[in-house]
Amino acid sequence: MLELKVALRNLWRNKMYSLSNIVGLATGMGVYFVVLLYVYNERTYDCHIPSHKQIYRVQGQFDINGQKDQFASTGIGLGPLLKKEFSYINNYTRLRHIDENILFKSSYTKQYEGAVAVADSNFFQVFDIGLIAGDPGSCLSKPQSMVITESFAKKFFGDSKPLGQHISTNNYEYTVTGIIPDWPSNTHHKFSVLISAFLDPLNDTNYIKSLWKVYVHTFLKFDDQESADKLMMEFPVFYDRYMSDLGGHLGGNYQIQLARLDKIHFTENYDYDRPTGNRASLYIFSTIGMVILLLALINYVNMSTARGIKRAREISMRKVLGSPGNDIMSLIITESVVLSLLALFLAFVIVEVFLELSPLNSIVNKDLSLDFIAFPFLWWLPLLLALLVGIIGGLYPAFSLRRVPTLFAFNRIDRENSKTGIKVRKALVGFQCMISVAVVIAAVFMYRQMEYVNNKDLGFNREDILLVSVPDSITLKRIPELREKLAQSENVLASAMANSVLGNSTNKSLFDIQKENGRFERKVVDFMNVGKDYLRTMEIEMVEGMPFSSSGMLGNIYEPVIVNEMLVKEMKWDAPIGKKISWGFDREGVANYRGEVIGIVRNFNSHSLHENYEPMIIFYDEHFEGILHLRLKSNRLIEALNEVESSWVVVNPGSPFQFSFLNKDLKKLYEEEQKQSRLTLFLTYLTIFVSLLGVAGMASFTSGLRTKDIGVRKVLGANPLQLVNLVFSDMFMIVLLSVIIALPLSYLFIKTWLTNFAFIAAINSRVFWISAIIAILLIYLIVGYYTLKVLRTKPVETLKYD
Amino acid sequence: MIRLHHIIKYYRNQSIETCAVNELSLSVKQGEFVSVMGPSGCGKTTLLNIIGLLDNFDSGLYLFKGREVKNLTEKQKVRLRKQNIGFVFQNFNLLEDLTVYENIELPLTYLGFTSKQRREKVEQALNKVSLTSRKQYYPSQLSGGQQQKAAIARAIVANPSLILADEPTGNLDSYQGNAIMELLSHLNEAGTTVVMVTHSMNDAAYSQKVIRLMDGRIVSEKNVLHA
Repeated sequence: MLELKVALRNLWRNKMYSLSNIVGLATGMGVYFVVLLYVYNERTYDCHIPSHKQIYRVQGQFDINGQKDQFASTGIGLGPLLKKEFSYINNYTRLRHIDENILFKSSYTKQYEGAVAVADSNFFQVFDIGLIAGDPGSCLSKPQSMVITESFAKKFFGDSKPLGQHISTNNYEYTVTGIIPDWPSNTHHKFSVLISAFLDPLNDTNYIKSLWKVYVHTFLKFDDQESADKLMMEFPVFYDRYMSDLGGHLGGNYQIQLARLDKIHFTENYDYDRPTGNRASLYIFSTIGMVILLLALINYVNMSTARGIKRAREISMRKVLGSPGNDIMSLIITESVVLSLLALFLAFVIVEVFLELSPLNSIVNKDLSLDFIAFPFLWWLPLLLALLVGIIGGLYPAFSLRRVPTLFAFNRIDRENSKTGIKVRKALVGFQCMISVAVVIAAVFMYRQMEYVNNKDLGFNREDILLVSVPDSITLKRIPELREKLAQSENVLASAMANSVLGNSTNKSLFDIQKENGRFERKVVDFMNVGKDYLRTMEIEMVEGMPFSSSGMLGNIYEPVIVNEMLVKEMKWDAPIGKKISWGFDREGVANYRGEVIGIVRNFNSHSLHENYEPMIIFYDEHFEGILHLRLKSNRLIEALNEVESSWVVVNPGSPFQFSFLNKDLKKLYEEEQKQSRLTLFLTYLTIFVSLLGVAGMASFTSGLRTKDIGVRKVLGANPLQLVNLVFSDMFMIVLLSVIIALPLSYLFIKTWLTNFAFIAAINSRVFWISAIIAILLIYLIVGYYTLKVLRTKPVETLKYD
Repeated sequence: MIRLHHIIKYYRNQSIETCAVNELSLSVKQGEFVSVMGPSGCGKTTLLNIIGLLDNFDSGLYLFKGREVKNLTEKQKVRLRKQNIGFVFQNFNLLEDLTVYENIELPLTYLGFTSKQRREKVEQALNKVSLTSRKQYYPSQLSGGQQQKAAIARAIVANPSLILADEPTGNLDSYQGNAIMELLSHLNEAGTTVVMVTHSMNDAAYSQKVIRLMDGRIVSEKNVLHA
């Protein structure tokens, strides 16, 4: 008790020391807690769904002529057929996300909503989350039923009761039959609106036909893990029965994989998936969080030990007065633990304020909070951590001070003893420098890569492209009139329809493609349907042949087809123009459609820059629902947008004007990396802050120890620069060494991170050297500041005594 | 060489003002050996620091080699000091991390001598104090007397015209103390002016003039008779 009292008194007496130590440690702890919350959030995806360990998503891999493609979605018939075939499957349900902004209207408001999905009627029997209102068994059993989240209900119905009320879109009217709580941020398949679908079962023949067209997510519910394993074992039987026929004709094969619901978030490299997590970045963040905590702990130990030397006389006097060594150790450790607990309290305050006031949550798309009730580990883990930090932080100073000789109080400083301490502290500061330099270099490269991604020439001009959704055939019929009207405007330079948006999602299909020797090769290739002026609108360069004309079919048999350079390269064509392509296979594997290559375009990035150029086939087709692409005049965007909207309203009075800009949509492709880059940048600032605290502490301590040295040299005629260099020389070698270690470390890290991208910004060696020089200069400045502070002390005050 | 005229120096500590040097006037000629004596706190060291340009004074006139120093900038003082004055302290103030050789070499480095010039001068200084055999030792490996010899070598290595010694034998036994005093005496005989603060009558006996201070004033100034 006395120790606690003395410890508190000591901390209070040395307010500045205590405060800086507490703030430094609290910052480290705070960062660690934020990272802990983030990692916990990432690692507990979908764990809030009670049956998450029984629900598996069916994923599949197609292998066509050795070309493997993985999909997170399946054919619509896979679920029902599997259930029929394997009785040990408890249940199945299907979900399909509609990734479009849809205008919803209630009696209260009308607003766009993008998170819309359709599902089987038994969705909430598989995903057994509790409904706030409505019956989970029947809420999706009727057509045009709709289950909505709590915040969607609030938005569309205010305080009135939503159940039984109606919401309409342009085409349909729905009845609200259920309310669910908002999905936590760590939900992989989330939506605000779920509409009933797949209510009329198809016959087996249609289900079998659908197995090769993947567009729904199928979830299976098992009673146990063994059943899931059993299905994996027995799937070949299913394939033989239902899929091998067409598979044989197509020269393909299909194998399913089962991903348990709580593991889905980290199943990377599947097409048609929701944004997945990145395990590597999670490890990186965890490491950075721990490193920052470690840096703060190092500062803490450094400062405690440095202060210990000042306290040596006091400790020695205690020994003279009869205090045993253990007594002194427990006093120092008690002080350390008290300080650590205070830091823990401050860390909680910092985290709470930070999560509330900073944009971190919106940057990383999370809802992180210090919810002690929902996450009981937030109680015991930090407390344990604080106790550990306190004890570890106190142990080294306690041990070193315990060895202080009794006669210390009356003699000169035991230099050899304190020199060993200095070496340890120097090594610790060196470690901090190394981490800081490595983190800074990594952050610079991540930033450069994101800049590169946002500015790279994609093979088309992403700027000033307005995308307008054409959701139905009625609207589609009015598009020619709209385009004609807009052609009069000097603010709209070109326009064309396309069935998909570049970078977002292109379609894949099976094609027979003529080889140079005249034979055909079966391949899965990306394709898109575009209108006549698409290439001009997107400013995609033609390298050979001619663009589409409105004449359509070539000699009534062949459709005109344009391909990209990648396909030419892959097919090893010498004369691409005139090569034949066929597609649309029936059950016997006979192609229904034929096309002929009329032109080649320069490669363009139809996917994100995570993926390399893919072979691409472009069809001419004006008659489909999709997206109207409009190239606007750069400096007249607002006027042009207004013109397009007013023309739209005139031509399509009943249809909502849903638009976006292509360059903004493309940025969304790198959301995960942007998130990582921003988080890394944020952690970098903190790492630098904590490291500089350490360097400042060390510089202050070293220059303090050198007070006499500096005094003597000053008397002997040294100038300030020579003295700053002297103190810096103490740290220079360790700083240099840490920089040398940091360079390859950061290189390895950045190399690993960049493997996510097919297109990367050049790794410029200048960044390494400049970062290293800046780090050394910064440390020099800090050392200079503290040395000059000591220099201001008159030498006569320092020379007299040791 | 040194002329102090009505020098006043106060130490101010919050509300207390202490007059450390009070209207003190003194002159020291080139080649003189002057001892300053007096009880603790009488202002001896303050006087030495003022003479050595390490401390400022509040009023009065100080001429060093005929040059008024009161209004010199810090830079000018540093230059004057490093070209003309060598310091010897009671606690030696050798730098623990440097060898004897490096300690002695240090003032020459700051004066911009070349490596060859430095080597010659350091060897000469080491010879003068008979410490050549210990030049690669660290201060902690030397006896107190040897450390003080090294400090003296450092003080004289740049051939200063003035040596200021603050209780140079204070930390030494009588045998080592006598050796140091012999050394200072020889230096003085060779033409170096020495101003020494001491408590020891024995040490003072080596000087030509003894000044006694009391409360910052000179209370007596006597020439020492040598047999």
